[in-house]
Amino acid sequence: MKNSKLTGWSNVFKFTYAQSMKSKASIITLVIMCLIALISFPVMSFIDGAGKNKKSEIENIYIFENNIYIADGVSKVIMSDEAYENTSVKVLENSSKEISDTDVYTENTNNELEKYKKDILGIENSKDVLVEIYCVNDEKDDNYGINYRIYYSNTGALESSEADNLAGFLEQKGDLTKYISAGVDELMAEVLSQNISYNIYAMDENGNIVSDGITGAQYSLNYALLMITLLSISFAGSAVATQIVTEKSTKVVEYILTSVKPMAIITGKVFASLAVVFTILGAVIVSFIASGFVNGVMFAVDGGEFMMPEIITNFFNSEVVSNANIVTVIISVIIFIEGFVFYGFLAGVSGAMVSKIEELSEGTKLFTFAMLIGAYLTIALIMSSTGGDGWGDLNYLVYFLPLSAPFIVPSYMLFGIVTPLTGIIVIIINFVFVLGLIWLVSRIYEQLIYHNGSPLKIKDLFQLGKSKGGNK
Amino acid sequence: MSLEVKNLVKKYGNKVVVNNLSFKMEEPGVYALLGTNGAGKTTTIRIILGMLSYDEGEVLWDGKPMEALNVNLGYLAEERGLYPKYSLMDQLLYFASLKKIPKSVAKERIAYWAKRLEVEEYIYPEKTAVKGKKKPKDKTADQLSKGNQQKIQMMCALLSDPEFVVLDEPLSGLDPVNADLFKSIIRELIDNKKYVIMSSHQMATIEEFCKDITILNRGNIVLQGDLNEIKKSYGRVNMMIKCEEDIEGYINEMGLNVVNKTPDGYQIKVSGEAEAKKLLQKLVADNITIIRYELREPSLHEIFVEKVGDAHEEQ
Repeated sequence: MKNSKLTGWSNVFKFTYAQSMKSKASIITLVIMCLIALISFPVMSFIDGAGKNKKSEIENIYIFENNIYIADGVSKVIMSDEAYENTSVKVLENSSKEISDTDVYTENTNNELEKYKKDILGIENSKDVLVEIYCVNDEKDDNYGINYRIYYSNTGALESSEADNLAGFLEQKGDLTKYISAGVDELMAEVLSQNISYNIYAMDENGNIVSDGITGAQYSLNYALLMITLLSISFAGSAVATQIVTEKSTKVVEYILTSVKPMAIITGKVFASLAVVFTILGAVIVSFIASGFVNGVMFAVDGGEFMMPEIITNFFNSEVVSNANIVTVIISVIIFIEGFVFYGFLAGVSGAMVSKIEELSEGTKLFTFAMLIGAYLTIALIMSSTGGDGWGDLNYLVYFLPLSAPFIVPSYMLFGIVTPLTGIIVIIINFVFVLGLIWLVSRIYEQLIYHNGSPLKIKDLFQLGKSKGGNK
Repeated sequence: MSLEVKNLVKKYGNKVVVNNLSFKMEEPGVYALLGTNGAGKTTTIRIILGMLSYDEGEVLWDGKPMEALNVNLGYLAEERGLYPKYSLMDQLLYFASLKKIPKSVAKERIAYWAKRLEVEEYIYPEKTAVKGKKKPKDKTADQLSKGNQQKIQMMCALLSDPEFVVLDEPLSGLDPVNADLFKSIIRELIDNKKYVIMSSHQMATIEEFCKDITILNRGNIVLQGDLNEIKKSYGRVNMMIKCEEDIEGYINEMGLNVVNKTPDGYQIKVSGEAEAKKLLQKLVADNITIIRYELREPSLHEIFVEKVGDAHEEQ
């Protein structure tokens, strides 16, 4: 069977992949990233309010209000929550209660309250909580607004986290409590207590949306995806360049080239690095899923099921990636892979431009420079796209440029800002650029791989490209 | 099978590094490619092995243009190279896979060559494990001495049981024991009817194995042909003589050229056997005690120095 320029790339791929996965750097990266992913959801839930959705250990909640009439609302809100379904709520009598029209709540000693404190919390092993509610009208007062004072027994029967959780719960349900106290029915009160968000749409004369900015959540998600892509490409590119310089400096390449062509070497290495990144990303995704289950076990009311931290679900919802479907996901993955291959070959050329491992940073300037241009263009476009349409038609320059496409098009496609048709055009353009780069690499790589001496400069590459390559 | 290099030219820019090189190997054996540093030997080898492109000429294997990737060849490069941090077994299996050798066959050959080259303890560290102690880790290249690394590379070159082998400075850096081990392997290759191209600066080794030679200097052929024929063409012009008495007067009287004077005697350049005999007769006639007398063809070393030296002078 005749051999082509790519014959043997799969052997290079398998060996490079296996050795990369065995390397300490990959193992450490994998373990650290998986550990971070695994603990991330429980830690987020803990920071957000540990165990706030768990069944409360509080047996009775007693509400005592001074100068306000919301105790019934508070009682209803607590009782309607699953976490407090085993807890009974009672509103205590306050004979001196009246709505105060003074700005300052005067904290007189209330004998009734003091008696309740003794009666409720003075019992040994009490698992009860007393909630005192009062209102301060003076804006200058530190306690301005509706205040809750939560008392619990420090005898150890009830953990302080239970009081903390109740406090957090009452704060979170503040709006709901107000609407219910004002007589609004529960369903409407739930609706009214939701956050207010907005989108801005510019319409043309035909009623079509002509510009669409990105939301705050999309902005953050875009940054996160940009960083993941940037780290992945940087990690893999460095690996490709390092392996090529190592093979050059140790002269292993002399032997390998008797069995495979330079193109097979670089292709095998680029795809092996891609596989390493996908393996690590895959392991991290699995860790995130496991983290969701751990989070569920630790913090879900019923326990056991997958649960995302509220801090994430409140911020990112399906609206953020409204255009995510099988087609857009596939197009996004292809664009990511194309970008990866493009940068991988660029890293390969960068690595081949030097002869010694200590000169690697000099050689990878081309790769780093290209990657930074792509990343900065993307960041600039993301920043100018919040609430607007970015740079108008110039956006397409960033979408179509192979340096920036993998950083922005996948996320913009999932957001619905870039259409699948544009995505396909990006794929075609990137494919042409990748082929062009591979063609250039095939012309200059042979000379580069034997280059022993000072690091080459970018202009040297173009001179090599102009010269005839691989004549006979 | 045959290997033929016809009118090969390789240029780097305007610099000609191989100029109109031709030679032919029509039967198995060892062909020597000699030259000073930078003469173009390694470039020629790389071209034959398909690693480098060339500007003019042809490289034919069995009469057809040689495609190195389609020929089962082995290569021991002058500049030794192994992955420093990867396990030796992993590397050997990888190199075997590049040669499309099935893993099971590769393992058998690795076992054979590991034993033959006396590196089993490095390839199979588990064999050295002490009972009750932790199994030793796989050895990596950077844990081996230079000589042992060279043995591993020789294994890489021979793993595919190649029909065509290129050995670039195979004995450099080896101690005498390992040099003998490598020589025995080269003899094995010759016995197994392999085509071998050898490049070396150790002329004695070349004389030991090679029938045909090409000497290059700055890309040009300065001498080429059957080594025995070349030597014969020079004639027996090297005379070694050691006597009890000083014979400098006799030598000067005949106007002979003393190449070297050592405690072991005189090394004299003569024009032919007749001149040598004439000196010998004079010494015998004058009752000079002759301890040693030798008349021989020039060594390859001498031919090399003469040819390359001449070429340098011309340039």
